[in-house]
Amino acid sequence: MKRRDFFKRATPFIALPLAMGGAPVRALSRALAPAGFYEQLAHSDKVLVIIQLSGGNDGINTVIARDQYSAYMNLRSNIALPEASVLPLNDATGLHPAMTGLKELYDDGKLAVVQGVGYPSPNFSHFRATDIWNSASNSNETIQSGWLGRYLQSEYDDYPAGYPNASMPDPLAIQIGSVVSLALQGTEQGMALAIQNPNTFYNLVSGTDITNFDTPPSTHFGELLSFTRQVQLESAAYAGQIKAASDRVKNRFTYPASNSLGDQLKTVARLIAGGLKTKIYVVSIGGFDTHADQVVASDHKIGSHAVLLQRLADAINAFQNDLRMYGIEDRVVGMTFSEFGRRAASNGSLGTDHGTSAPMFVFGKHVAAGVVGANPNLSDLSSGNLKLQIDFRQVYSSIMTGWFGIGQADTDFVMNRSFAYLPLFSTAQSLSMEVMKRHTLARGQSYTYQISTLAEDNTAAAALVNVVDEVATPVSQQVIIAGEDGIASYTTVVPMDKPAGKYKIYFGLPDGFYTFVEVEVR
Amino acid sequence: MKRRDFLALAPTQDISRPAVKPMPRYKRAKAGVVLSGLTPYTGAFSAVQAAHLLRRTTFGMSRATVAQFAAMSLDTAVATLLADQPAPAPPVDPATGTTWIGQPRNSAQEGNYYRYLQAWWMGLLVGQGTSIVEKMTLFWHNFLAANYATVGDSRYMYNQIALYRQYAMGNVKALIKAATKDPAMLVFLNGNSNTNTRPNENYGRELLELFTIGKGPEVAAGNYTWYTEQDVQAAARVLTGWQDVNASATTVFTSNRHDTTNKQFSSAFQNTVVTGRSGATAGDLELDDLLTMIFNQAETSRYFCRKLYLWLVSPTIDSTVESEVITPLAAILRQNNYNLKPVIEVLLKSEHFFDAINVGGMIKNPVDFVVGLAQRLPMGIPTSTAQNTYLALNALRSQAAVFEMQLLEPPGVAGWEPYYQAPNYYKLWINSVTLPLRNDHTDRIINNSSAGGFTFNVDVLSYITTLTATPGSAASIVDACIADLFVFDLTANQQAHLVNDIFLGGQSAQVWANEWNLYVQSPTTTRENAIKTRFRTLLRVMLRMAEFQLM
Repeated sequence: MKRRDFFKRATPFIALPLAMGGAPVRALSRALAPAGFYEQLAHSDKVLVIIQLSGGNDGINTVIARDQYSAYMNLRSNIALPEASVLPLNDATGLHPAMTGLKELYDDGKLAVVQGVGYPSPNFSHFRATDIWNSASNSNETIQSGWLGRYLQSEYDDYPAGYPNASMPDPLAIQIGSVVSLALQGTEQGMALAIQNPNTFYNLVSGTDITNFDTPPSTHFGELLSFTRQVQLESAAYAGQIKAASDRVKNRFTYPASNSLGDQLKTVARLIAGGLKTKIYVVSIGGFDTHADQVVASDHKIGSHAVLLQRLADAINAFQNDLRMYGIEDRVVGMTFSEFGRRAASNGSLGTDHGTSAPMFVFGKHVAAGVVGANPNLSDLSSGNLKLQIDFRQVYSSIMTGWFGIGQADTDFVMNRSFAYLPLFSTAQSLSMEVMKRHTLARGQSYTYQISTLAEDNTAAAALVNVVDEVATPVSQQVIIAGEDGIASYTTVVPMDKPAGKYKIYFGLPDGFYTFVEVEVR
Repeated sequence: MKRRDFLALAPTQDISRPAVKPMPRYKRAKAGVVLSGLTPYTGAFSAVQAAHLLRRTTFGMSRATVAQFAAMSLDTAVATLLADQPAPAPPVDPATGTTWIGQPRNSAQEGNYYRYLQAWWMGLLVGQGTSIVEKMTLFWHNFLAANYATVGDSRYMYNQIALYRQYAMGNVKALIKAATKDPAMLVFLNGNSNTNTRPNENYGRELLELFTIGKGPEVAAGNYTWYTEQDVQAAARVLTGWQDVNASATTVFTSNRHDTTNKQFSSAFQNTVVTGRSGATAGDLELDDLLTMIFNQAETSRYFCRKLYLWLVSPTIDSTVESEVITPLAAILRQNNYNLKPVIEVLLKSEHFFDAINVGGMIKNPVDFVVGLAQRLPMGIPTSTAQNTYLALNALRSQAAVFEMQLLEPPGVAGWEPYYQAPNYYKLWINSVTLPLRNDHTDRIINNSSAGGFTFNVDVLSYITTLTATPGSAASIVDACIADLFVFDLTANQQAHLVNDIFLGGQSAQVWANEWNLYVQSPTTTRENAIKTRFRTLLRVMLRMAEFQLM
């Protein structure tokens, strides 16, 4: 495996207050955790969550051009949202009234709206357009691997031989659902595991006999037999890890009811908080192919599209809150996409037909909140469709460099071409978790850590700080009190009067949550 | 529900009945190159070839059916599969014993009706007999897909499936015409809101992209080789004016909703103009012109043949298959004025169909998997009342749905992903979610625990003793199960592992022989249960093997 050195790549930062990642275990007192456990925590790193909106989301009714309301009204009077109902993001732009959950994230500085995303010569077929987005291809080329699959290959170029292993004991990527997206297909093989529910998954794979394999013949039968056996092996190999991660924690925030996307994101939050080192999660929500009745004639604020957008906004909002409660907001960024937007003009069925570009949402604590790009010009259309403003691969490529911090050569491999960086992330995030989890301090230098102590009912708690040396001998113990925002701060002083060497600082919460940082004192 | 043939085919409980000898099996092929084409297959036609033919044209088959076909010539076997079948009786409401098809919509009962419809269809699959009709009906359901989630009316879905069954191996052009005007399709792809003043392109686009000629490479903006965006818009205008009529679940053409102007198509269609018509016959006349134009393109015939090939043979269509199989099949389709039956007949009797590279090279789709198991094992599907039968059949339906293939609910207009998504195709049925769930299903069936909300009652004793005449021999039991459950023999190592480690659990073969003999001489419940436990252990492991996923 090509072990990436995030440490070298990250921007150097000193003495900036940082929020800590949380990775709970059963009891705070288990300072001598099982072998491998610290490794697992220490290497935990950034996670990307992809939300696919299947069917082609009507971007024009999702992110509303408030500054072009009359043009908007002219194009789609039978489905137009009332001007006053639009949730304003700024003077020019607003959100569909059902998306209060995303409006809240925007106001909290955790949401970026990227305008007019598409690609040249757009395709209007659901399947082909979905393939283009997943494979990150040009409109006229067919690529049978996915952009996330190629990214994972750039990080783990010898996968799947020798996996799982000590440094990567978990699936590289997880699709919540039962069909793995083309986005996660590598050039040689699939790079992801699909699961619906961590517990049933574990129960179902036990009982499969995987001994005494022979070599399958070189026929279609042989190829499919090998493939099926590989799925058996991978399922068995990862089932225990996934169940353990899921069992380690419980969700700390209540998710909206009857919201399948929320259910999927709930599982994702648990797995991340539970310590899986999986880098990418893909979830999906369908139903966006709104050719007819996307609004109710008598009230355009409601209808099938409003229901979908509310589910999306509520689910993301709950997920972000859950991450905050776990104290792992720093590690996670999310992105939505749909295979295309809709035609600028509505049709006669209170719906919209297949169109071109549409907005994307990028969310997370380290996102540079705001609206990226201008509203699409509703008076300057191309055959009734919005003109392209930002290539979707520019967004992908900016996530690769700005979030995962991969270099130009790898970005070129993943994207197959170069794109300029879009400033999607705040500068503070460029200090990766790897740096935060393991760093070096010169004697006399101080460093402040912050940990979220919020419980599910939003009450704050005190945190216990334990410092131990390299052989787990206790050095000091201290209780730190959280402020009203639930954040407790701790400034390193203890290791300073101790010999040079490695120390671990554990932060524990009353409910058994715990995390640590490793500090090397020079 | 009427007692169906499949129930008569189930093995009886009589364990003293002489068992048939194990089926011969294919030897695994070594070569990886396709050289065969449509030349008629002249090799041996016995149980191994009959089994391959039946696996691909029906949903699994009982041993009795294989034996029946093995005694035929290939010509007779294919003729039997392709024989026209009478339309089955429509589904009934088990509470009243009458059907709701042809009646006005009953919203209060609609939820129940939908479940009955699903069970009814599953019943036809389980009772498929020796015909390709059910396999081809599902082919069209996948090809010209519409789903209940969107259409929302069990009468509409019934009518559409009845249409697909009627044309299962009939005239493709006539089917496409009927499907275009089909009420469920009008709802599903918004044909009913396609008017002269507000054209809705949804159906027109899919007609070209998915239902007839297919999309080629985009050679210029909006030009997909075989058609262009202009053609999509022109086709949509040809198709204006059709609507469904809910009360009667039928179709009506309203001439003042129809675009009466001429429709100009692109050079992909030789710059054809479909002359604008008015009046009550305008819709049909223009639709005929449109379909004639599309079906005059050779690519249309090739597109259908590729879809058929993918359904019956393999998703691997390389340049050899394209030139040796698809192109000549397409010529046959055109020569026969788009009648499908002669095409299927040539394909099923070809060297290529029986080529070793294709045998076993298909992952069972969930319906193949669930129904195939029900064909093999005596599962005790109840026949006491229609209500009970429906409960059991619905359980099978729901299990297939869990494995990602729900009858009447294809996920989108292109049907199920494994039949169109390159490069993985069939592999998409199997992943870390669906494979463990399939394994769980077979466990539950073998254990007689609830599967899909119904507890089946599999008689493992009857199953094994029907398969082998010498159940006192552990090796013979394993050998018989391999022959019945898998396409190919296992290696000696695998076989030994199943005999010694799984079936005998480390005991000697003599211990089993003694136990069996003791049971035969003086059967007691305790002895019988011990024997069944051994059988169940073996079957659970074998049904979990990768080999059982293939056909």
